[in-house]
Amino acid sequence: MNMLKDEMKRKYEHQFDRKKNYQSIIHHKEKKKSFGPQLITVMACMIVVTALSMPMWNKKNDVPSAADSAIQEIGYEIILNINTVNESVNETPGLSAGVFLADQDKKVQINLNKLNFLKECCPEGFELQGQDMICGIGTVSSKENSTCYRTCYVLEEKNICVVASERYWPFGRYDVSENHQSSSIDGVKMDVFKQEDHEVYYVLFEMNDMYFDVETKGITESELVDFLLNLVEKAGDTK
Amino acid sequence: MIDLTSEFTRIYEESYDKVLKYIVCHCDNLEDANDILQETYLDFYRAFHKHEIQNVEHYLMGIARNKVRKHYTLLYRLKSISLFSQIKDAEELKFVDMIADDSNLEEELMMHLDAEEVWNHLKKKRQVIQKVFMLYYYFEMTHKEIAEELSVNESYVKNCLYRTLKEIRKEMDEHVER
Repeated sequence: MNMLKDEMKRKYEHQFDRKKNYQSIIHHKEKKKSFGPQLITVMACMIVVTALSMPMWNKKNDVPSAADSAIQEIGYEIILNINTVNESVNETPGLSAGVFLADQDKKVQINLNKLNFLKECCPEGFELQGQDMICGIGTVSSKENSTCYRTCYVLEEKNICVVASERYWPFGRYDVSENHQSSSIDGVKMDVFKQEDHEVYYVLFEMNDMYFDVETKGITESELVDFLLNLVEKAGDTK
Repeated sequence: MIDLTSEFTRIYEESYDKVLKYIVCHCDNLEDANDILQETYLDFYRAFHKHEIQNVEHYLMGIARNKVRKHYTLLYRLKSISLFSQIKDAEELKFVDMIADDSNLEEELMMHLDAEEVWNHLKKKRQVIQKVFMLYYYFEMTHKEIAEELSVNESYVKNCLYRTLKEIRKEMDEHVER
């Protein structure tokens, strides 16, 4: 009997190997010492985003690509400012802490036609996981929760979730700092956040009288820009 | 002058079990525990080298708490919400036998069970059951302590252990009969 307990304990010790974890921490710490390569990587990403966006502008405006002035051209205007955050965007003081699935029995009279365009925004290779109704964060005092509409696209480990609500920001709003900078994607003002050390982006914006909260995981900056551009374009077609 | 790396190593050894236990109890998937644990200590290491930390244990647990929370974004957690999960747990509780507090589960069921079989069987079970087993065998906690840690009933903890071990025993007996 004690043998089994000892063996099980050994198995757990092997799964959560103390020394192995220690080595990983020390090794990771040493890898992160130099900031130079990180800065170069960030700058390289910005150049890539700019370069990738140029063919789309040219296609729309029917002009040859230009080396400079890629940003702020009329047409597909892209001003991208990514704010790095330490905390999840979903923690906002004053709002109720939990979220739950909307009561499916209630008949909610919401005009869903506004959001049909999301079905056409599925990025290449991704799969539209579906659209459903969920409850977002409401106010503690009123105890009302906003009904939100969630559309998800998935490709293996990558996923993009678009949540829209008519009443309020679906999952709360950041307390933005003084250094916060907004972005603009094809004329739509957006707030773009990236969670520090994670490949997670949050994008908040208002469009067509609705509040949008986009959360992505595992996609690159250029994929994010492509998705947002497509979304804004498709939304514009439904006006 | 204090060697910071040696000091970090000492703190790591002393706090490892406590931090791991917290992460195991609060993470959604045990497979993520190692990653979260490494991220916790990595953040601690960086902070430790930058400024003096008054209450090391409190600081470490704070980092662990944040790491667990950040590891699972809200939309991820939302996706895993099931309307029926609570109902299922309630149904399971109905089947709890009246297991005496002083009963020894191993004596009753595990006379001839192989650790490898138990281990392999556990991998297929729900995360909450895996957590119960880990807290019971690795951290050697009592049923009551596990229940408090996971915010469940004590009878649920016993049920997890007892039913799972019974299933393994049944599978083994069926295997022998073939």
